[in-house]
This record gives sequence, C-alpha cells and structure tokens, in this order.
Amino acid sequence: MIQLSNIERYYKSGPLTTWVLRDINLRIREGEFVTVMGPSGSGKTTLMNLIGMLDEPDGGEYFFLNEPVHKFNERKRTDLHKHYIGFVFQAYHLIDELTVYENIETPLLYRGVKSADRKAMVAEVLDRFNIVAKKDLFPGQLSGGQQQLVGVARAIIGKPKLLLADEPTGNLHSSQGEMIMNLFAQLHREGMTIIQVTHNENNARYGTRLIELRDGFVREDRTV
Amino acid sequence: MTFHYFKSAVRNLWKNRLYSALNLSGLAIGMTAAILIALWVQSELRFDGYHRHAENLWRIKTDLRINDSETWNWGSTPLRISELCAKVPGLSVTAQVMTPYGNHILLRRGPEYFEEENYGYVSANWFETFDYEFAEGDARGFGEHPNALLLTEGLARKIFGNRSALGQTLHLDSAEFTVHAVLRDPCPESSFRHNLLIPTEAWLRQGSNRENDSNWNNFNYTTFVELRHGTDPKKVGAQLTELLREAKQDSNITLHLGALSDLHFDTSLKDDNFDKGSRRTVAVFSFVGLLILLMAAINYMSLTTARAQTRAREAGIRKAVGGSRVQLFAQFLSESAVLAGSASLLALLLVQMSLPWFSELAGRTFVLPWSSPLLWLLAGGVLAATVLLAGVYPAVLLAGFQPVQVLRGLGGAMGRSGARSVFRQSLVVTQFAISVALLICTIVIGRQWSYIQDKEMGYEREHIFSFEIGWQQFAQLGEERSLNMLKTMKQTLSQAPGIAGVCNANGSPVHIESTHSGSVKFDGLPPDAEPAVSQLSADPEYADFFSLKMLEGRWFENGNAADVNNIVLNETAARGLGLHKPWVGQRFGFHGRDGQVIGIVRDFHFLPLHEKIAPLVAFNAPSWRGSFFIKARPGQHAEAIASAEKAWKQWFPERPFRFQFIDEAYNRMYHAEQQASLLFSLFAGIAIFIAGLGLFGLATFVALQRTKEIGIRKVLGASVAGIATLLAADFLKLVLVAVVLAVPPAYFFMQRWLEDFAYRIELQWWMFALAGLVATVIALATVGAQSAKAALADPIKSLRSE
Repeated sequence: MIQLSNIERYYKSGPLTTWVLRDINLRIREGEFVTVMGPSGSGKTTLMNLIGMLDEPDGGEYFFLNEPVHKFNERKRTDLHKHYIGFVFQAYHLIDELTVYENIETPLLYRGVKSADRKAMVAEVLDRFNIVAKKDLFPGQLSGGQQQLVGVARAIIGKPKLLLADEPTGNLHSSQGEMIMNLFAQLHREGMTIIQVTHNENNARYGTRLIELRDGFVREDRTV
Repeated sequence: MTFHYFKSAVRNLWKNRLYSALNLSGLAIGMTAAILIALWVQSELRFDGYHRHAENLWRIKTDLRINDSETWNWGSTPLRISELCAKVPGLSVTAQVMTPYGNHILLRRGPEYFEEENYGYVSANWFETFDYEFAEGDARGFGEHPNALLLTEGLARKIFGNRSALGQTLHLDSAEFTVHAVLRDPCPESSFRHNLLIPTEAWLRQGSNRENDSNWNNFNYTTFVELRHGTDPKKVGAQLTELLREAKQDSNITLHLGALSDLHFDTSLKDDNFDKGSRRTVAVFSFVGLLILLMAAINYMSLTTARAQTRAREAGIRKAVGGSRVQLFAQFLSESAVLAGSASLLALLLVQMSLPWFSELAGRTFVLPWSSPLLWLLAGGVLAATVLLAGVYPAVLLAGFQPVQVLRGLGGAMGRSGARSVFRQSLVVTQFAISVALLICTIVIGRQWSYIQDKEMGYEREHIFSFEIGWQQFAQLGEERSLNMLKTMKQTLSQAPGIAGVCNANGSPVHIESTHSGSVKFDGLPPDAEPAVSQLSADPEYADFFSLKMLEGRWFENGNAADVNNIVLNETAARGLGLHKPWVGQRFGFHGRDGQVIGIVRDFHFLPLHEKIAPLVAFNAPSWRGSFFIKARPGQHAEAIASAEKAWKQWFPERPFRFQFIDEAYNRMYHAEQQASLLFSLFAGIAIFIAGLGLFGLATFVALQRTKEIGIRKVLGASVAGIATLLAADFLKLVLVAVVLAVPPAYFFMQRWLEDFAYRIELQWWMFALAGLVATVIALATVGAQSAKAALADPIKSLRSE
C-alpha cells in the first residue's frame, strides 16, 4: 500500500543543512498496525506528515496504492489524501467553532457526500462511539478523552484506508488513553491500516510492527 | 456546503465579537459615506438629464468681443433669434425663457399680495421641449391664451392654501390671469427653479416690451434649441453667428451652442442665474468616496490578516481532514461576504437615517430610491468592490496555510509574522497616510475660510442692512418723482429711530457686479483702448458710511455742484489704467460726463476673493442708485428695520418690504464652497475615524499576540511603562512614516486648490505638523489603552496559558 524509497527531508538555513529524514525505505502493506517510535527530533512527525501528504519530501519516491505521489501536484495530492487518509492529532485539533456533530461531518463535506448520506454516516459513528448525547456540544465543553474520541470519529468517518495517529494519547490520562488504544485495536481488527507515533511502550504493544527512528534514519524495523 | 460556509462564518464572527464589531462598523460607516457621496455625485452628473430630449437640447451662448483683451460671455440671446433659428437646417425646436431684470414679481389674489423671485416668461412650446410633472391639470393649450399661468405646488400652497389652484384667478399688475395647471415642485436635478411660468406673449403685450425686446441689442432671452439627430452643433453655431451678424450689423458677436447637460457646470457666463455645480468638486468627492471605501477595505484586510494566525489552526485542520485550497478560499471569502453583506444592509439603513440631515448639508433633497435598480446596482457594486478589495487577500492567505507548519504546535513557525508582516504594516501606513493627507486638507481649507471670514476687506459690514428699489418702481414713478423719492426716503431714514446712518448707491462694497467699458476718457488713454471697469454710483455719504479710506484727495461732497461730473477712482484703477500723475485733478470722462478725478480711494475687496481687485470708477449720479444701506444702532436692529419698512411703505404700500444684512450677502457669496468644504471635512473625519478603528483593532490584537513576550519581559523585570512604550512605539513608527508620505501629495493638492483664490493663505509647516500631531495623538490614544492593558496583565496567567 505504501512504498517509500530513499526518502529525504532536510532544512537549509544558510550554509547549514539540517537533516530530518535520510534514506528512508519502507514498505507498508494493507492491514498493518505500525508503531513509529523514537526520541524527540528523530523525524517521526515529519514521516507521518509525508505519508499523510501534508508535506513533501525533498528527495526519493513515494508510492501510495501504486500512485506516484512524489510526482503529484497539490490538487491531486489533496484528492488522494481526502479519500484514503484519516488523521488523529495529539492536540485533537478539533475546530472550536463547530459542534461535535459538525466536526465529524466536515471531511464528508469536503468530499462532497450528499446530505442524506452524511446524516446517516455521522449518526452511525456517533452511535458507535457512544457520543450521541454530546453531538451538539462544542469541543470546549468536552474532556480531553472525549475530544480525542471525536477526533478519531472524524478521522474514520470517511472510511479511510489509512489512519495516521500522531501521539494520540499524549495529552490524555492513562484510562482515557487506553480507551482510545482499544478503539484503534478494534479498527485494526476490522481491517484498517494504522500508523501511530508514540513514546509509550504500552501503546506500542497494540501494534503489529515497530519502526524506530533515530536522527532521521530507520534504526530498527521489526514485527511485534 | 454553502450553508456550512455560512454557518461557520456566522459562528466565527460571533465568537470574535470585538473584531466583527470593529470590522462591521468600519465597513458600514465607509459604505454609508461612499453611498452618500455616490448619491450626490450622480445627482450632480445627471443634472437636467431627466428631460426626454435632453441629449439633443442645446443652449445658444453669446460671445461679445468688447476689445482686444476682453470678451463678454452671455448665456442669453435677443428674442428674435428664434426667427434666425427657423432658417437653420437641423434645428427642430426653439424654446425661450426670460426673467425680467430687477425686481421680484408681485402677484395679487383679492386684496393679498405675494412676491415671487423665481419666475420666468416662457415660449408657448416650452412644455413640449422640457419635461415637467403636473400636480393638477396639464400643459395642453398653454400659450394659446396669454393670460394663463402655471405655478408650482409650493407657490400654490402659499397663495391658495389647501384649496385647488386650478382655474383660480390671480392678478399681475392690472392684468388678470388664470391658473392653467399646477406643477410639481422642481426636482433637485433641474436647473429650472421657476415657481411661476407665464407665456412670453403676456410680457410682450405690456407697454413697449415688444418693441424693446425686438431690438437686436437686447440680450435677455435664454434660448434652447433641439437639434435633429446627427446635426453638428458647431456648424449650427457658425450659421447662427452669420445670420445674427447680418441682422444686427455687428461683427463682434459670435454664437455657439452649449449642451443642456453643461448648463449646471458652465461657469464662464456673466449673466447665468442657473444653479451652478463644479466638475472639480464632483471629481474630488468621487475620489474621497473611493478613498473612504478603500480605508474601510484596508481596515478589514488588516484586521482579518492580523487574526490569520488564530485562524491558521482552523485552516490547517480543515486541510488535514481533506479540505482543498479552493474550498477553504470559498469559506473565508464567504465569511467576508457575510460581513460585508451585513455592513451594506446596515449602511443602507444609516444612509436612510442620515438622508434628511445630509440633504440639508448638501442643500439638496435626496431620497433613497428603494425601487430603483440604480440603488441596488450601487449598493451591489459597493458590496462587490468591498468583498473583492477586502476579502480576497485574506482568503488567499488563509487558504494557503500549510497544515504541517500550523499544526506542529502553538506559536511555532508563525511566530511574530502575524503582527509585523510587511504587508500589514504597509496597510496601516497607507491608511494613516490617507488620513493625514485628508487632515492636512481639512486644516488648510479651514484656515483659508477663516482667512476669508477675517480678512480686512477695506470696508465695514457690521450692523448694515440694505433694501432695493426695483427698476419697475422707478419706471412707475417716472424720473422726476424717482429722484424726489430717493431724496425724501433718505431724509426720512436718517432721522428715523434705531438708524445710525444711511446711504444710497447702486451696490454694496461686498460685491459690485456692474461693469462698463467704452465711455472711459482721460488724457493718456490710447485712442482705440476701451478699458473695462467696475462702476459704482454712490452718494457723498458712501465713503464714510462704509469706512472707505482715501489715499489721496476726497470723496464726493454734499452741495458741491461740480461733483455731479467728478470721479473717484480706486488705487488699482489709477495705477492700472495708466492715469498721469498727479492723479487728483486729472480730467476724466465717464458715461458722457466730463469731470475730474477728485480722489483716490484705497483698494477694498468689492469682488469675491477668488478675483483680484479690479479697477473701479465711482461716480455721483442719483438716478442710478437703487439700493439703500442702513446702519442700525447697536442693539436696535429691530427698530431700524421697522423704521426702514415704514419709509418703504410710504412709497410702495403694496409691495412687501425685503431687506438683507450685507454680512449675510457676504457669507452667501462663499456659501457653495463653504458647504463643499464642510462636506469635505465631514468625510475626512469619517476616513480618520475608520483608520482609528482599524488601528484600535490591530493594537488589541498585537497586544494579545504578544502576551507571552510581555509576560516574559515582566518576569525579567520590565516596568509597565516600559512595556506600554514598547508596544506603542511600533505603531508610532508607522504613523510617522505615514505622515512623511502624506505631506507631498497634500502639499501639491492644497497648493492647487489655493490657486483658485486671488487672496489666500500661505501653506505653512505647522499645518502639516498639526495634522501629524493629531494623527499621532489618535494613534496613541487607540494603541495606548491596549498597550497599557497588556502591560498591566498578570504575567503568571499569560505564561500559564501558553
């Protein structure tokens, strides 16, 4: 599903080149649950952004579902991204001005899903995540765990093939974190491909494969 | 999707109520000003354009060559020009209007007299040529009967009250007239302000009028012609010129055609009494209107882009969940549209509310034509312009955010660019530069007006009022009795209670309009020279009465028989005409009188200050003097007026007594311009207010954005004053740059404006400094409060929130 070959990412400031990612070669198959670990600054988030098509590599090739993403322009990338990829963030990143319902609905709007279908899909997700009662609240009125639940709901509403989670439990109490991780495990069982970034060894155990980054290189890549 | 955009737009605007309110009020006020200006401008530009045949209607203008250096331009022609017009191909209609020189017309209904100043005698085809609206009856059959007249609703109400005027009888002198129809009051965009229209035939039947007016030398009819499609007005002018030169046996005369649409703007004519506008004022106001709109748009842009950092997170998230650049652009643009739409509605409301007041200020009645497509086109245009000007840039900016940068963390890459971007700084500078420039203009215009108000004119005009005896009254009395009347009236007045002084002349020193050329004779005048001079017929009291100062010699004396032929010149005349020295004692011929120069009066401003003092010849001919000037004793104005009225009634019991204070006449001379200046100041004030709003919003935002920095500085020991200065200094620098940028264009335009006045103030550095100071104070006041608030905030709180 994902193939990265010789991916590079760096920043230039004056004569200095700061490498963020170097010579990344990865192949991720559908249905895998990959955990990316590594110390701060090792390039985890950048890797996620590259895979999620929010960022572009400075070198190398990226194939997603056999499509050459590195050759695409922004419009084509956005198109691919919005149909196949869902994002979960450490800071939830819900839109404060929108209700729970509207936050979850947003990706469908951008995809041009019809109103009736949208209603059905959002209702289903609300039901599944047990947050029907909260649908008219604004993010500010929810606890962190509930906000992240909405974040996950928003990420998967469009039935993406790939779910990218950047430290999804980083801001949560452990019990809330566990709830989110169980949710991921369940999604994985249903066949979704998941890539998560985490510092937490416990979270890593939910995954099927562990990639460790250090200084922009892949240091270790093993099945769990 | 559209609904979604709308919803999030409304929520966002509501969430940031302060910014929305600032934006909304700035935009609404700007739009209100722009719409008001647009209403005024289009009313000016469409003057007289409402007549069905407007495009083909032309007025015949006359150029009369007086001598090599002078040509008189008139807007009138002889009556019989219509006969000549009939001979010119391409002319389909010739319509004429004439208002007799001199007094107001007197109407009598039963025992009651009414005076009307705006009236005219019109040819029978007048109403076929020009469009009028009728309240009662219509124009059919007008002119078939000479003793039928038309009046406006306003005049009809004055005379008949609420009764129908149609078919009623009125007397003009001894002749009986019936009311043929009642017109609607003249529309604001009409040059024709007549309240009473009478067939020319009725005029010609009186006395020797027909004989007089048939003379080719009497230019008292304003003549309009309708050209057939494709006729060249220049050619028609040339043909008419030839015909008239032949008829009048005078080769110094040239006729040409002026478009009806130019009637309102043509100021080249001596005898033109139509309401005048100025194309330049129209251009200036259009420009100011655009500037104000631009300022409002800049406000919106700078506030929106300043807030972009806050919105960047939302933009990033939306992109991360699949929103494309175009979709985000649409969303942010629709936010602008919602705001600008609300602002337009608010603006229409404000316009509606301020119309009565604006109408009074502009001296013209405006209505918002709610049903007219033009209004909606205008409002829609202003709206579209605002959305495009103000909405596109922020929308592009916001839609362009890269989620990676924005979502990385709070603060981060966006850092301080939000507050200090070059773009936003240039917006603030532009806004303030415009404000400062407008401020400079306001100051200069204000100074020039107070200069005019306070200028030593060389004569006194306090406590003085005048009344006029019309030529009809003179004609009524005959020459001998007229002279007797002037003499006794002066005697009566000078002894009456409340009156400190009386004099009798043909004009007040405020404005001597009478000019003459041709009969000036003195030693040293080149044989073929015919200098044009202003002329004043004044009695011996005149100089003392108005406190004129003599440079040499003396003014006329009572009881000096020789003074009947003697002359007093002003300084400009003595120098300009090239009179031999010594001036006093030189022989001088004027109007066939042979006398000598007995005195030179110091120059005084008897013309508007736009014009240089002209050569003036004062002479002493009682029969020329139609005006009485009366100086009231201080605090006894009412008595003086009552005395004057009593004296008037002794001679003219049937005529209402009319008088005016000459300082009012003086003020009226500059009324239009003063009004324009007032409007200009008003709109400049609005522009500055809008700029202040924008700066306030920006300052609030920057203070908010730098909360963390301020917190850290306070923890490190910075004082409140130090921090407030730090925040305010950033803005002050911008304002100073704006002042520097504003000075050259303001200097240039004001220099040009002042050139219109022969007597004017000098531009001085303090005017520019004052404008800069005012702008700085406004900036300090708006920014300072916000800076102080930010500086006073508890650092613990602000740092924790990070």
